[in-house]
Amino acid sequence: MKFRRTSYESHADEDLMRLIAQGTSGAFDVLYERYARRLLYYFYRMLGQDEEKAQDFLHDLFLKIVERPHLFSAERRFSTWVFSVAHNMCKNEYRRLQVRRTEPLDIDDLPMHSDPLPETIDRKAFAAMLDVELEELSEEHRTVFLLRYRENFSLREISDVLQCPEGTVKSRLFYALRRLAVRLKSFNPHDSGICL
Amino acid sequence: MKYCDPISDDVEALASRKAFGELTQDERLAVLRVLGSADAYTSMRSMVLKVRAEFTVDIPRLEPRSSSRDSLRRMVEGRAQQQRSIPLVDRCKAAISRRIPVPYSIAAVVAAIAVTLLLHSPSEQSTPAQKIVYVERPVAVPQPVAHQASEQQVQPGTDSILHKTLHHVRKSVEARSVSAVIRDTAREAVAAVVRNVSATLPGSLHNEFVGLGNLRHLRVQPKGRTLAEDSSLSRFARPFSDDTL
Repeated sequence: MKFRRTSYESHADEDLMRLIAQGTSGAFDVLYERYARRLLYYFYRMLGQDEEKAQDFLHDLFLKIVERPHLFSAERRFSTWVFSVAHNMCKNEYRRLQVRRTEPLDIDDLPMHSDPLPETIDRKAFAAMLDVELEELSEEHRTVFLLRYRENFSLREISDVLQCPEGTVKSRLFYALRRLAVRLKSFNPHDSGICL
Repeated sequence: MKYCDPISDDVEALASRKAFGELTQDERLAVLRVLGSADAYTSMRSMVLKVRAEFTVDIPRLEPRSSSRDSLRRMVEGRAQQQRSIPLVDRCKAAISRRIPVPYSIAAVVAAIAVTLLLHSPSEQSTPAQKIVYVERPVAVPQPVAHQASEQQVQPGTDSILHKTLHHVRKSVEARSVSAVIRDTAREAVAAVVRNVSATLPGSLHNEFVGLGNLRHLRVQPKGRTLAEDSSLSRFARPFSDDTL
């Protein structure tokens, strides 16, 4: 006798959440598969590239999903909701560690790489420098930047995640991008020594 | 720097989508006003593209812990088991309220009542009334529990403590030394009886206590009654029921 296994691959995230609330483990598997790595990466980037801590935060986040699925409002998209929960967890962690940056970053004080590196520099070097520069960003700017460029969220979705106006998201993005462009201009093949 | 300038806000979005050459005239003017030059815009766009390319590359070493996933999965399964343990009636109620519209459920209830009436009404009318016959059954009379195992019949001449003690009392009575010694001896006798749970005094020994004023508790003891059943004796012997005696 064959048992047909229900596939939840085609279900929307919101439907999967409803099924998880009913105790459907198959739905949990699919949702975990969709979001675990993304959220792990987000935590990894937001928590000082501490993989252990990122793993713990990922577990705690899914624990909340499993234990209190009713907290999810069906009116919201799951993706923005889950990242807003992740964002709040990171904020709490910053508050706990009191590592939140208090002084504003001054883009004019940043040292600049005046000598462009050869174009043959590989992607790994860029990735390493990007990691360093992302760590230097404030929490707000880093969050916006990651959600935009890593998660490909729209500006509206980011404003939903952060519960802030869309204009604020835009200005934060502009600031973060401009700062990175200055700090990493040596990796820019089109760089002509112009300061932004 | 005008971080909240609407024009500068849109530069990032433009840089993500279009090269400088693809911008409209209005967009070019806006970009030049914010960034100052076309090269600055190109530099920013280059950064956007590089970052996007970097972020699309998966980091293989970042994998969620499988142990975490398994434990979470077990929790979900536990929730399913918990929900399965909800009483059947509640589940039926929930299923009915969830799946059957209200008018249909009302109609179903009415139909169920009608069917019930149809099935039960004729049978009740056609069936003759049942005659209830009461059958006399012997009622079990509770028998007194006989504590045979703990009851000890004390016969004259036996070598029990009680007999020895009572014999000593009798001799004391004969010696007309009715005093505290006799009282204490009698107490010991009663205590010995109580320790042995119960003992029946034979009538011959009863006679030994008649007229013994100082042992009034024993004197009122009727024939054939066990010492343990006599409340006055029990009270009398209570301080001596200890095993240290």
